[in-house]
Amino acid sequence: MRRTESLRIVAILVVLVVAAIFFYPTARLWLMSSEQKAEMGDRDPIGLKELESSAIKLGLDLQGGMHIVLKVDVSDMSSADAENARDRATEIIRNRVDKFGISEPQIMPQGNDYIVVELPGMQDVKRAQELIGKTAQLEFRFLETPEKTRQIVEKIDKVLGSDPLAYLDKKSDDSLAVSEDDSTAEGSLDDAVAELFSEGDDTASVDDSTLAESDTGLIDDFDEPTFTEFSSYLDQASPGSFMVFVNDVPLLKKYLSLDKVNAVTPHDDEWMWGTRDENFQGRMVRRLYLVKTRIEMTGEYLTGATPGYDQFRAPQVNFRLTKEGGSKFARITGPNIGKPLGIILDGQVESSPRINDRIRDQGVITMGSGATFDDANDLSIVLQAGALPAPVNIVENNVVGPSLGADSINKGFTASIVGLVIVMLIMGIYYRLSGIVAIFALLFNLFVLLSIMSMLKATLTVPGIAGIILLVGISVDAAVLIFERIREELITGKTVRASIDAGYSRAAVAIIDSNITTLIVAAILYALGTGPVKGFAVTLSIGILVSLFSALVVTRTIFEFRKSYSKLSI
Amino acid sequence: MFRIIKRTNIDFIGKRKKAYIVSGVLMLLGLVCFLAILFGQANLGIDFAGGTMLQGWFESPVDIADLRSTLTDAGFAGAYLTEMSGREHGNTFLIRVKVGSEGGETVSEQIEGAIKSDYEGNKFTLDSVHEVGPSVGRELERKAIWMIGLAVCGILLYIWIRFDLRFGVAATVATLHDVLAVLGIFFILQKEITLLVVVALLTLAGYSLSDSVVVFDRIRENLRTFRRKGDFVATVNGSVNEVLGRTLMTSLTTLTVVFVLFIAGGEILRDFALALMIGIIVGTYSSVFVASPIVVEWENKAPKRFK
Repeated sequence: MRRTESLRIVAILVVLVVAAIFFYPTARLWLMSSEQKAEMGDRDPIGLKELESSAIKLGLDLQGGMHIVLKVDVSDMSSADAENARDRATEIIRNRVDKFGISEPQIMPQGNDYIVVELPGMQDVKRAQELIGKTAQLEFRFLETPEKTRQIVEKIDKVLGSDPLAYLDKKSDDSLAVSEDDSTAEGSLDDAVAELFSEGDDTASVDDSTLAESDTGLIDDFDEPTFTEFSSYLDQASPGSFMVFVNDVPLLKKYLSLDKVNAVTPHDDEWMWGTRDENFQGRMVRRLYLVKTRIEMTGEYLTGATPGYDQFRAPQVNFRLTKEGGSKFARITGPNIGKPLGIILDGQVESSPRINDRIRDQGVITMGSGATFDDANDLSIVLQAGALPAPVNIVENNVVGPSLGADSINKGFTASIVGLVIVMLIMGIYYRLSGIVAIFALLFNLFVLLSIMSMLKATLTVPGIAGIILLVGISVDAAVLIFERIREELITGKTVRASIDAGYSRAAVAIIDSNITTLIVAAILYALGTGPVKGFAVTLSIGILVSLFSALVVTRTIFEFRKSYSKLSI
Repeated sequence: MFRIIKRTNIDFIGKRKKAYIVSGVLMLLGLVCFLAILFGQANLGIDFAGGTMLQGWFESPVDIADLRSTLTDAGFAGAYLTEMSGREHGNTFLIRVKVGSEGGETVSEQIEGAIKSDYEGNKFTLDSVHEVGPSVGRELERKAIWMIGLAVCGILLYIWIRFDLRFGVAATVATLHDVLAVLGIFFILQKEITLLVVVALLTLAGYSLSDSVVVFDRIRENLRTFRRKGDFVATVNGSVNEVLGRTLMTSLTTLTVVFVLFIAGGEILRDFALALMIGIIVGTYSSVFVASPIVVEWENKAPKRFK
């Protein structure tokens, strides 16, 4: 045996042994049934975790979960501040997610103002939004007095008046026109109200069909061609807050954004909505508050927050304040016993409990009747982790259910096996014994690819499975190039030995050239792609390199042994 | 030795004029699609155009027309709606609207709410939600164009270094031809252009290039041997014929694998596999009828002594 040959054999054996070592955890994990996994989780949770962390990771599209892209609103910041804000926001969101207890979350900044959050296993979009998307700016503010509130409402009634024209506009306009401008209505009231009624994309409740079919009393008023006064939408709930039927909320939001209405609302007052809908006598309502603009205190003095229940088993959040915060809070609450205090989170009123006593360093955030314990839990998490330095918006959101992921795995697996078997048949029939060598190389490639992916802790995604299947094509291509070349050489009358040598040395150039071009493409996909695309690029590049090795070294070694045959089965 | 393709001597280069017509039509289609993308008229997937896609299933059967009217009532008149077969649960539907949500109540919540209130007795479970805001879509579109541009430059550069400029240009043109052809055929088929389709196009670029490179490799090799004979066209044509066995065999096996993926790989990969299937066929054609003829045309216009 020549020196190069023994070197080759050693190289192949080393690769196989190393591959086996790295592939073992993945193989073990994949061969385990879910019951066995659960059983191991009970018996040896650390062992299971280790096993999982050393096996190939499954992407969110395979195991199910949530992929969210957030845009940090840094529009009014300098670029240095913006980057700082993005990094702090990433840190705070990571804290929140960690406290929520999702296994292996990924939270990373991307670009100048994006944050990517990946939550394996998470399904509840709404809850994730609350948890991640909240700025969590906590404020304590007093409510406007009932007397003054009543006066302001009367003034609003007066400036809005009754406007039958607006009603007629609504009648004639039953299209679902999409209006871009929804906050600052600078035109006349007619325009504003007409626009309001034509708004169909985000306020589904005010389009004609809903109005006609709905049987709520308030909407019945629309059947008569008179304009309804502003105050008739409001139902006094408790001092300082009104209840508004959920269907009327979009309409009232429009009113409250009108210049005319703003003009009669004093500068030190502000209309604010409650955080969540409540059930009031069988109907869903949302509260509306007139709140003082003066902020008495913010959440910066909070040292801790925990969820709990009040004596009526309603959820609440208990919080503690720093010493400084405590004395400040005492100064605020002491002289105002008996008055409602608005607890405001991100511009929405969480609740407005009455101050019963001077509060020093411990307090309670009551959450109204619409809240659940989960809400209290999530609120305490975001309060503890602190407020984000800038508001964030969810700009992309991808949720994959676990059954869909499992379906993709099954289908990908089936497709791979079927494809593999067919290709094996083709190769075996067409190239006979040499075809079997090619099949061996193919299996070697798949095995080494998977073990390298385990080694690199790479993530397998749905496109990644496609990459694996493409590897079958790539490996076969290399074999075909070599075999066809050897055949050509044999036809010209060369000996088996000379044909194999010539075939390999000449085909090698073509194989390397063609693989490198694909590798260039894969590198670009890796550099610019995200998530699933990156997963594809990773499997593809590793596959190409492995295939090069097996084509030029593994099959070559086998063919060296066949050189001495007088006839080659090819 | 079992051979489907015996030693051939087909005059591929002589048929190049006819091939130019076919290729011209294919590329024109692709260009139309490309322009449609630029002017926002193409059927872009929600990853690029922004929008919302939901997949979910009902416990008991649902009439698709009823479901459509539910969506229309909820303000999503132009929703794309299809029932999906072969899923774990029957009555699985895919809903796609080209409205993305950035902040506020999300479109998926609105749709889910509308369905749940209209089908109270029939439980609706969401399998997946994908929402993309318009700004993210635009950014991805920009990235995809960058990816394609860079891939083309990288390819050109590599072939230029390994062979020479004219081979580089020929290979690049053939690759662009294949990408445009698939894009054009997708346009005719009214297929959605998603991120995965773009990935397929780039993979295809790599594949198609390999094909051209193998042919060029042989041309280069034969040019060394046959230089003295001086018949450039015959050398090129001979080279194409020599590697024809490999070209067809590789295409056949790769096509088989991708075809299985198309049939059994699931919805997510179906269009990806389709793009590759079309691409492999077009790529095989172009390595024979596009890449090599360009080298021949160039040599005819500006003869060069190959070393």
